[in-house]
Amino acid sequence: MKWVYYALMAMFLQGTTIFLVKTQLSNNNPYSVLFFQYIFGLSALSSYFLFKKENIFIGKKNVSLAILSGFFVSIGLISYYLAINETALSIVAPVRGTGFILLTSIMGITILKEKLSLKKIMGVIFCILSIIFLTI
Amino acid sequence: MFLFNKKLIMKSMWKFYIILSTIFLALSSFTVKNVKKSSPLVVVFWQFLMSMSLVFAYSFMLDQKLIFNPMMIILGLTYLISLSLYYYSLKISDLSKAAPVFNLSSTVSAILGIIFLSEQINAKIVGGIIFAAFGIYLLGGKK
Repeated sequence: MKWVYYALMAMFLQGTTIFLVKTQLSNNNPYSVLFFQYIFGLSALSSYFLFKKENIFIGKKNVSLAILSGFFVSIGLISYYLAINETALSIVAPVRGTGFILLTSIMGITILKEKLSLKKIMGVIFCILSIIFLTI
Repeated sequence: MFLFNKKLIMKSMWKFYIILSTIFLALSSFTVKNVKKSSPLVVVFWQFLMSMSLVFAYSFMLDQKLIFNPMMIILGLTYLISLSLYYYSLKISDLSKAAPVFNLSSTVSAILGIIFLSEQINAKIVGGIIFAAFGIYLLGGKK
């Protein structure tokens, strides 16, 4: 159950971050916001690794996958910020949420062969319903 | 007529951006889940390094000026912490469990938007929040 606490904390922080992004987009472009967000995130992370003397080389395959995910995130987030910039946050955020839940759940179950229980199906349905309610 | 269509297209451009965003962020989560036996923070490091370079390239190609604001320091840190926590939860759980909970951050953003940006609230939104709580309980509980 430890993962729930991590995921919940991540959820609140991410929700707040996106709200703060929306406030910043009123007087700045999405590229600036995302670029400087990365600069400071990366600076904090680099300082942590220097302090902890942690090895960042995790093997060719793992680094390639992490870099590939970076490519996906760059397009995903810049598109998200462009959408936030164009319309209300209470519309955009839940719409993206629905699609994301659907896609990741389908990929997890079909490609990663994760177990599918009735509770899981109901949970996904409730999450989707919540986002539909918030959107339409 | 053409101008009207162009206006209509421009007005619904956010839908195109959202589809693009959803697909690429889902692909990213899926890729991260396949990274074996490594610290989530190291994965975030490589991901940030790649993304930062690409965002810089996009802004250069699209002739967008990069303007700094002190608030972006907080944004960078909150984003880093939230992503690290999410990857930790992905590491010890299933993608189909962790991703929906993390994704309910969209509800948090919507609520903050309603409270602080004076966006509209109605019965559907309240219903949505109740469904969200049920969804988290069902996805987080024992099988």
